[in-house]
Amino acid sequence: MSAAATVRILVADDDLVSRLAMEDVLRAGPPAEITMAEDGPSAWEALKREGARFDLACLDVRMPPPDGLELTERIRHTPALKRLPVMLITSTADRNTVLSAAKLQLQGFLVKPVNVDSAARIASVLRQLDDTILEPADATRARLRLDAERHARYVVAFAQQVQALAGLAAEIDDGAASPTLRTQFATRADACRTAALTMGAARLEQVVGDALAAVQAEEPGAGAAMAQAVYWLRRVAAGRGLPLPD
Amino acid sequence: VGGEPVAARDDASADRPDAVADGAEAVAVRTAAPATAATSPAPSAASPAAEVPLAVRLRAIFATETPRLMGELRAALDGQAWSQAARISHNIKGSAFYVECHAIADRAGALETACDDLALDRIEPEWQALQAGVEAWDRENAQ
Repeated sequence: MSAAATVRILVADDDLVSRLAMEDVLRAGPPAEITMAEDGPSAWEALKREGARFDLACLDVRMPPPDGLELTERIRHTPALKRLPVMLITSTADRNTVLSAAKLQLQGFLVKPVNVDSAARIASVLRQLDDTILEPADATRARLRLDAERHARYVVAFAQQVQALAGLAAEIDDGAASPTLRTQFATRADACRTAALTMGAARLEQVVGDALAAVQAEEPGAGAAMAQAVYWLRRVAAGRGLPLPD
Repeated sequence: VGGEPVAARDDASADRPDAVADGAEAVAVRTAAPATAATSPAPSAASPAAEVPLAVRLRAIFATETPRLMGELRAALDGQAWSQAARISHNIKGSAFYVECHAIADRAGALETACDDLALDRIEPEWQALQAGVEAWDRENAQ
């Protein structure tokens, strides 16, 4: 995996021993840039500032408010963050916690003490998530009967579509967008969603859909959603040896 | 930009990336770290911390953190801040798992439950049991 494929993971836990153990666990997985937050408020600040660039958030269930459950709720209700994968860290995955978390679209739980099994679980979650950002090349090529060169061209073309939309979305979020630009965005977003489905990029299709919904509702958030799409796509493509042009 | 899927095209235009995307600038991906949270790339294998086994580092931190947490816990109990006391007990429990001190983990867990349940008659006995467990761990590890 190239340096460009480094994943970015937020870990929020108020317990120093647990943070150290988590860092050790994450070192056993894919190359990672780890952001450590020592309580809920600093985690939320990091999410608000950089949330669209995180690939995964690992949040302790019990820490100074907002705790892991409340943070996850906030994430799910924030347009720019709502697709962020979340795993909850807990000492005891008790029934109440599991029930409370059931509606939060979690990627799973990490039960303390975290260990090599946790590392394997995180790596597996990241792999599965990446497969929904861009389907593995072999699968796409087989499904669409493409040769490697043509597949690579399709990925580049798809990435350019996503990047073009991100540019439009940023303009729209800046507030100076004309109705024509909004219409242009909507038309392109529809085409991009179709392309995403063709490329097996289910999660990107969702994010583009989020951006489209924001634009149609004349609410902010399209720029952040598309920036997240660009970040995810570039990272996964780089990890699969499909470097995209700047 | 047409409405059809990129990869579904099977004509000459499908071979041209600009047939499906044009005219907009790329969005730069920023990789700067947040300012308030501590951001650290995973330490390299050559870093001093990596030379000390994790278990040893965890025990050292547990030895220094637990007295501090016990002080905060006592203050929370004295202030009848039950939710805060439960959270601190929870932290001690979690840390104790990492140093494989199940006696402390169990006692901290019992105190956490008592605080969560507002079982006021159980809180002081559970605190004393936890304190005894921590003192025993200190004695064992001081030798």
